[in-house]
Amino acid sequence: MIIAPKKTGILFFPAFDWAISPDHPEREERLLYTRDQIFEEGLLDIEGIIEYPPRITNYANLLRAHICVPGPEEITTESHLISAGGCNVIADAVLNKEIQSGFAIVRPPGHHAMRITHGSRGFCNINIESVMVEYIRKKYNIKRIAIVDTDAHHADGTQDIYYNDPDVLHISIHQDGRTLFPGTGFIGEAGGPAAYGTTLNVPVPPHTSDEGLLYIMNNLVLPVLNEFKPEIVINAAGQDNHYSDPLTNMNISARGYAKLNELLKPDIVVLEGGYSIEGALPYVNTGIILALAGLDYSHVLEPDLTADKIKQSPKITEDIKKTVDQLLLLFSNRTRIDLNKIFGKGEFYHRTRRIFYDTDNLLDEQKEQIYRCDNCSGYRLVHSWVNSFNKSNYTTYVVIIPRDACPGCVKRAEERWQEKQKSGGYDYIFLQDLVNERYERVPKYQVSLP
Amino acid sequence: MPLTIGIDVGGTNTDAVLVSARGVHKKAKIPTIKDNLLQSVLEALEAVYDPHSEKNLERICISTTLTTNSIVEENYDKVGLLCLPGPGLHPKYLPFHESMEILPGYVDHRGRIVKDLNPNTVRQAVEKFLKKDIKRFAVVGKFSNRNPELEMKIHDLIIGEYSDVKHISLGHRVTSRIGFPRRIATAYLNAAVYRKHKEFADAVENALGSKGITAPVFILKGDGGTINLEASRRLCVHTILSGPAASIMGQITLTGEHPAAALIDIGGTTTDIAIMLNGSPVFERSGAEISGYKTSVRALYSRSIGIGGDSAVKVENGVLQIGPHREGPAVIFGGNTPTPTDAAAALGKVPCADPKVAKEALKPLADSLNVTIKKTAELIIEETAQSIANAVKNIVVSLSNRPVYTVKEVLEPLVIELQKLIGIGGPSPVLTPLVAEKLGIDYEIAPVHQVANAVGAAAARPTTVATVHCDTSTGYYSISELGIKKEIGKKNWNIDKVTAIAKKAVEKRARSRTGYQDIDFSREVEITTHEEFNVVRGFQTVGKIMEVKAQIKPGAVFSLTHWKEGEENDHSS
Repeated sequence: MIIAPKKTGILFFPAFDWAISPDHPEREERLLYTRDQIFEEGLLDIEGIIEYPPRITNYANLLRAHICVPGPEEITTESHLISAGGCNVIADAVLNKEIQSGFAIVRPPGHHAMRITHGSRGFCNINIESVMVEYIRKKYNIKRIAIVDTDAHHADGTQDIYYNDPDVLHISIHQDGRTLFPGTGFIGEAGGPAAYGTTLNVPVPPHTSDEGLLYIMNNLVLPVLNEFKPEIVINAAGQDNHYSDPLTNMNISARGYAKLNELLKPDIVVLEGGYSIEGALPYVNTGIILALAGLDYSHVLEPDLTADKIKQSPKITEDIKKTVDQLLLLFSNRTRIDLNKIFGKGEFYHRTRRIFYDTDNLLDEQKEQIYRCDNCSGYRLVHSWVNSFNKSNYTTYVVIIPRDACPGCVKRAEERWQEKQKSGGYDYIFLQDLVNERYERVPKYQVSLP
Repeated sequence: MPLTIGIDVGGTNTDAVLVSARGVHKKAKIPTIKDNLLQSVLEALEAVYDPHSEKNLERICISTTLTTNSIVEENYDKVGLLCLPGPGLHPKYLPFHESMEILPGYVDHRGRIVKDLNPNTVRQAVEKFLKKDIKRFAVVGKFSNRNPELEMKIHDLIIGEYSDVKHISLGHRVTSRIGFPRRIATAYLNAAVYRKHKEFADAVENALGSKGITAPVFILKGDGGTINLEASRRLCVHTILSGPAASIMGQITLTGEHPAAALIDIGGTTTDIAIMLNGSPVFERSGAEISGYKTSVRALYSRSIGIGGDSAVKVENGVLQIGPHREGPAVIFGGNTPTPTDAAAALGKVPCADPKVAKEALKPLADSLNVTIKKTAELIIEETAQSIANAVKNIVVSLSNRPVYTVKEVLEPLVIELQKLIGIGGPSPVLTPLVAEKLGIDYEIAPVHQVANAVGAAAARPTTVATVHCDTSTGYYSISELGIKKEIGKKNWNIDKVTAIAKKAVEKRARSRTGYQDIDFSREVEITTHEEFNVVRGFQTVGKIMEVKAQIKPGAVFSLTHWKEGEENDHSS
């Protein structure tokens, strides 16, 4: 009988009865072949690999990560709550030391869901990693967390949620935004005024293969993690960087992905995207499980894989080296850099964005202000105008008090919140107060929030 | 009136009953002859066989420890294992990898042959084993349950070219379940115990033939169903763990089918716990485990805890310690170490035992605990009952916390609310009420019946299973257990059609065996897996993957819930 050298937890929630729509890539069938492969390989029978049943999470857990507009009930289904809840189950098992690491193979995914979320974009409504991170911070005395997102698409949602949070390091390795949804994730997006350098974007050229990805792991991710010293490392393991994925142009193999996890040694792995449901997911997931468990994955091989198929051109290798060098410089200079040059000298840092919701067909135009406070990461104010092609348009105003907010920022934010309630002028006004755990909306939530 | 003979070969005794729906007509208990189980079976049979009612003898059912013991004691034949693992888990992690020859060729998760066989590598591997005088083979491919072709080709090649080969177990025939390592263990063990079981089956057949007994013979399986002697030869591994199954089927026959019950069989050294839901016993999720091998053999869920009527009772650091070891019989029955049975006797609860002897035995414990003997006896009984109750609770929790894969199952979780505790075994009259009280549920004690397992074997229904996997986009369906892979053409198959095929396959499989005539297929066939997925490629639905598993459900063919010992004689003359 084999015993896994490292105790590993698996939470498998394929949501076999849930789809965005019948022919959508995010459909019932997506993890069917993964189940077949994992079960046929007998991975869950291995001593030291433990399967955990899923658990549904509640709305309160979502609201630490999100402002759901108009409310959590309107923009989630049970499947979203189970997907997020499943990640929390694995987090509990890791932090209670039942397992050394865990893998939440859940759907639907979440890394495109922004802090203010209006519905579904890039197949995501709720950011399952962020819901988990906030759950971990609330329940366990853990502050510093690193998220390494290896999905082929830029993790713009996770980036948004932690953009100004100096305690969460977010590294996204993805196909260059000029060639793929969501079109963001460039080197220059490196964090807000209070967290510059703790957002790192590694855009890679189309056709990047194992060689490039592992170069980034060895030369950028591991040294940065070594310096940041997170208490928990999370891998948002989108598998659409696989050479067979129909939606992207990357060249990663199952063994490459397994190697990545062997190097990264994440505490928690969460499945994100990946739509080569037959040719990639069964093999990549098998590889990741074996790598986490410390077992030999050298026999994991896609039936159609040849070395030529994923050979990386020297030009790509060169491009990746350049990107890595730039990011290393950025990261090592992050505390020395003159932030005023990047964020201006004003009392507030302003930014405007247009966020398109491809699945729900709506456009969110946001104007955000981050107060530049010397004592904390500063409260935030967001105006959001939503142009919906299916429903009526609406406006939203949000006051955010970050978890590290100083008393001054709490007070100032509170004044704004009172002020806005009086003046009105918006369809919805929200308060997300992470210091005092107040999650309120005007008009008041219809659902009761525990 | 149709009669059945049930025989249960246990570790210590072999029990036999002559039984009908009216009750137990004859019963016998003889010591098991350790190295001659056949002799034990025949002696037990002899003891209850009634030549006058031969024409009414409908069947003979045997629960034997032959295959179980042979595996546990590793007393079986060497097997040449031919594997087609393809890519995936490293073969060094597979069971029996030290007796394995890896062959090129494999099938993927859709049942497509990615790489075909190389007949020469098969020949080389077979010859290698034959040179070592290994003549029994197991052939197992990854995903062979989805497409049996490669395993069948190897089978045909070996049969065609090597007359020395005595037996081949094919993975897809011994089980249709997903799980390559388990399928390997199942096929390997099947081939390993094949000869022993066959010899036993042949001998039983000859012995009965020479007596002129023509009733069909069945062997009890670990899943509480029976299989006829002929079919059991090829699928002998499925007869492992029939002991716990006989006990559970006995309890069902004697106390009925319950919506939610725990069944406890309190023995001398251990207590076995099983669970019944909606009238059927709960199964092991992925298959039986034996001697550290995880197999795909369907088995009833049963957990054993090291506590029973003869558990040694000690006081360690001022704390009562009950079990997990047995150091001999209770003091009242001539042992040296006090036991829960002595505690019951001290309280006057064991008829025909001298409470004085029991009290004497408990005295040293009472002294260490610094309480009265009566109090000590009560504490021991209390603690024993509590341990059993805790084990039942833990089992309910672990069964309720099973992984689920749909939103519906998360929202409507399986809630096991036990309503009844069924107790069987010598110490059960004393302990069952106390365990039930701690669980806050009703109880029922199976009539104290020295031959309940033999009754269970006699009453167990013949069962079989068929799994249809249909993939309309590849255009095939397969029925692993029958070695069928067929093209479906362009027919627009749906799940109803697949279900109908599965039901028909089970019926056909059963009807091809003698002794299955009385099964009411419309009532006894149940669907245990029912899956349907759309296959979408490029935003277009190109087909469906459907899997339906149909089985004749295990159960008792007659019930003795109203039978009271002695009554049957009033009717049977």
